[in-house]
Amino acid sequence: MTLIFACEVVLAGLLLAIATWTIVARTAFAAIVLFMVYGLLLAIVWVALSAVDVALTEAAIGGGVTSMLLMGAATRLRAPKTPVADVGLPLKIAAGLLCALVTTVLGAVVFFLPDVAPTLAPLAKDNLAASGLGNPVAAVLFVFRALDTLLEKVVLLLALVGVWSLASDEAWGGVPGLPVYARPGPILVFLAQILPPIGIIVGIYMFWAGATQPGGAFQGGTILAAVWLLTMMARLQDLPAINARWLRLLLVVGPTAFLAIGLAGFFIADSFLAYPPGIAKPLIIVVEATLTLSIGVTLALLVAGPPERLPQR
Amino acid sequence: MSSAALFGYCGAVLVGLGLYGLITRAEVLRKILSFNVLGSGVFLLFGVFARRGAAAGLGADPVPQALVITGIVVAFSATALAVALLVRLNKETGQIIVTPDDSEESGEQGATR
Amino acid sequence: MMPDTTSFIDATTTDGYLLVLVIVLPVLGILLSLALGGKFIERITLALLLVGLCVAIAIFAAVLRSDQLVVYVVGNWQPPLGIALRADGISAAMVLTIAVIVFAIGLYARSEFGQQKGAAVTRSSYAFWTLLLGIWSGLNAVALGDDLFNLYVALELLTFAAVPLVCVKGYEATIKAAMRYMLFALIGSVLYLLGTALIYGTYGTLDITLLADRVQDGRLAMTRIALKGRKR
Repeated sequence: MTLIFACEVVLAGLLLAIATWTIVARTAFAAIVLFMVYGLLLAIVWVALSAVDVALTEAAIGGGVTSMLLMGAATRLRAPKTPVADVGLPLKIAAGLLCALVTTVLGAVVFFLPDVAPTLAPLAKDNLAASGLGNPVAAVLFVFRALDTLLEKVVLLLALVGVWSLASDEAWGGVPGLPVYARPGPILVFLAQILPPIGIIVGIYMFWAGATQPGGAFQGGTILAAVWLLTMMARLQDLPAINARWLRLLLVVGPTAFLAIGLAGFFIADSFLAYPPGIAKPLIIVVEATLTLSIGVTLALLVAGPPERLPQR
Repeated sequence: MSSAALFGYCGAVLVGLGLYGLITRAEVLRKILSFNVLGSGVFLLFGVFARRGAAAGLGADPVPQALVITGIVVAFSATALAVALLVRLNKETGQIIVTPDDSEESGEQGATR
Repeated sequence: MMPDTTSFIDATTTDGYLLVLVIVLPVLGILLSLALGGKFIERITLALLLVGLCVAIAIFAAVLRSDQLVVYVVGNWQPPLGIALRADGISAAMVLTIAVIVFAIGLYARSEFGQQKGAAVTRSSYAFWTLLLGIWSGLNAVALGDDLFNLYVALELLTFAAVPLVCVKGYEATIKAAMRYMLFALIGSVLYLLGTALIYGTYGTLDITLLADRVQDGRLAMTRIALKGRKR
């Protein structure tokens, strides 16, 4: 057993322990903090699996904004008048048996996997030069399976519209109810002044480098969203009204550019979402740049939630 | 045991854990957390298949990696929508669980919009 | 581009662009509605629904006329690396039915969610028309998709459009119902994703037509395909 494998065993054990603790923790607050730790550990596991793009995404979205979102929810929920009754023991036993069965079946699938695995890596590698990019994962996301990414952007926007629709009629078009600090402490204010410039540079670099190295629009956009949320929570910036024109334009500029270039592919290349051979990389960079902005704004607004009050005049 | 297989078993356990939490925790917020654990277990299985597909000089098959990235983003938007729904539910009814039968609700929060 | 394993890889047929149109038109509507802040959203939606109905009729006619599949290979990257859209008789009939029903819903809903001239758009009206477009796009993507993961994204699109529509009026009972629907939809979608992962791990592709061949071929062919994956 090599040293690296021993480390991976320890990592896997730690991951399972934290996951178990997350499920059985008594308070929601503890569970969310543990989930944050779980997300960051999982990012390390992804690096161990040689999937660095996924590790970046998991750290940013899984361990970052999801935890932010859940924590905001936990602070906003009022405790019910009658305490929540625990589910009965028979249901717990039945569920435990079912889940043990599922785990065993999946474990058996992993155990009996054949030695040689079917893979699309050679196909992707062969077509990488034709795609114009150097990062194979980015090539799959924006060239080979670009329709998935386009639909995924639409899914993000629709989720945002859905979240907004949960507002009350009077507050429509107003300011989201993201929990912000009433009196932000000096340390928080200091962090919220220092981190955003660094975050912006890191986010933009991550999108830029994503063409040839691990990174990309999603990871960079999430960092932009996170630092924006930080400034808003520390009350260095006001939350925007969701009807603000600049906000709406930033939201749609990414998917619109993506869709426009995709539709242009009917005429200047030979298919929807195809890129003409010479200018594939610049076009993809334009798409990724606008998507980074849009994803940043969309993710931040998803965390901020539905509008709750009209903007003060 | 290769490292891919190790994390494959890890993913299998996470799927079981997440499913257990999803079924047995009564509070919706805990259900959403368990859904996220379950989702990450499924993504880990994808990652295992990616790692096993290492070939042609690449460390892992890029297609499942792209699928997992898409999946993580979609799972986050699902979480966001579910959380917003939960906060709204709590504002209207004061509850943090969903009961199977409406007639068991206490009558005080009966106001409709 | 792909070695000779299976037969069925069709090239894009001449009417294939219609398949793309019917998925992309509602997306255009959603983007417009977000950008314009909901000003003309009812009229935009109804116009797009009408155009979409014509496109759906055209797809149905194309499938009937040519008596074979209408195929569109997105980006000209053949499956298994890329994604294909495929319309056989059933899909074309579904797309047409969807278009007719959604158009009828749009017309009927004008009484309930219609916008008054000059008045600001209300929450329920904005949410309804935008989410209706989302549902339409998701349904079309489900009907025409030939890739398992594309289907997953389309199903999530459907869920996120449908759940807020359940509680668009904001009554307490509808919010509870929407919460229950959301939880069940979450469980279903993640289990579907689990199945997709296992299928990819076993067969190395997510294209449904390719899978039909590979599943039939059995274990020996799988080893062959896996070994082909190993060749430099």
